[in-house]
Amino acid sequence: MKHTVPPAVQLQFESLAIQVCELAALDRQEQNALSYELQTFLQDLYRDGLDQNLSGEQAQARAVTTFGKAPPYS
Amino acid sequence: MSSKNFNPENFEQFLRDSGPAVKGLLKNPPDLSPERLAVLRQKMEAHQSFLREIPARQMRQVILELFKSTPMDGSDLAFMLRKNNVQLQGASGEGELFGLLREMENTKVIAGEWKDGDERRKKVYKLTDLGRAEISPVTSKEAELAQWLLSRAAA
Repeated sequence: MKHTVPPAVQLQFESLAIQVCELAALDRQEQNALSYELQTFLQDLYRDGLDQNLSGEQAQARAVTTFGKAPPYS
Repeated sequence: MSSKNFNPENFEQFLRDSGPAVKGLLKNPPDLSPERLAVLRQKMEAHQSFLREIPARQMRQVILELFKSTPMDGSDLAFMLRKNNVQLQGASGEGELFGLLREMENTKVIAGEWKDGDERRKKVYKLTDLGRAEISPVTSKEAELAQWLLSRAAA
């Protein structure tokens, strides 16, 4: 069964994705699309962590660490 | 696979899991003396480091080769690379792969299209004619790596 991403976790992922896109100085439309794409990837990372029997907190931390903080390659 | 998984009893499997960089060893299996194995282990670890860190220019070619075979979304691509210890060199995290995809889309070598998946919308990327023209007609190590990744995903 696919894991549900709790709202608080989703909020952090959303915030991180938006922050990354803002650093990349994208235009608004592109920023929205990329931000959504990055958020779904973070959710997949989170679910993957839960699949590997990590706790919710561990899976959340692992997703953020794995994702990185630098703006996208350009 | 990390070096700590190395086990002489699973030598051939270890070589297969290590990817195309060591396929020459499969064609010409070496003797399995402990000394020889120690040398091979060092070489394989070196190959694995090469596989883990790929410069953006090479990663771009690998992605083109992958999308030539099958369109996929960024998340699937990232997980495929992660499961096989392949990363973008110098990246602070896997998120930067999406920046490379964005750049490739902006230069029109790939095209992304939003599609409704089972549980969420996905941006599925495919190769464009421009991207196809950028792929080397000669089999490259990037093409070899892409084929290896696809074979691992199919297994």
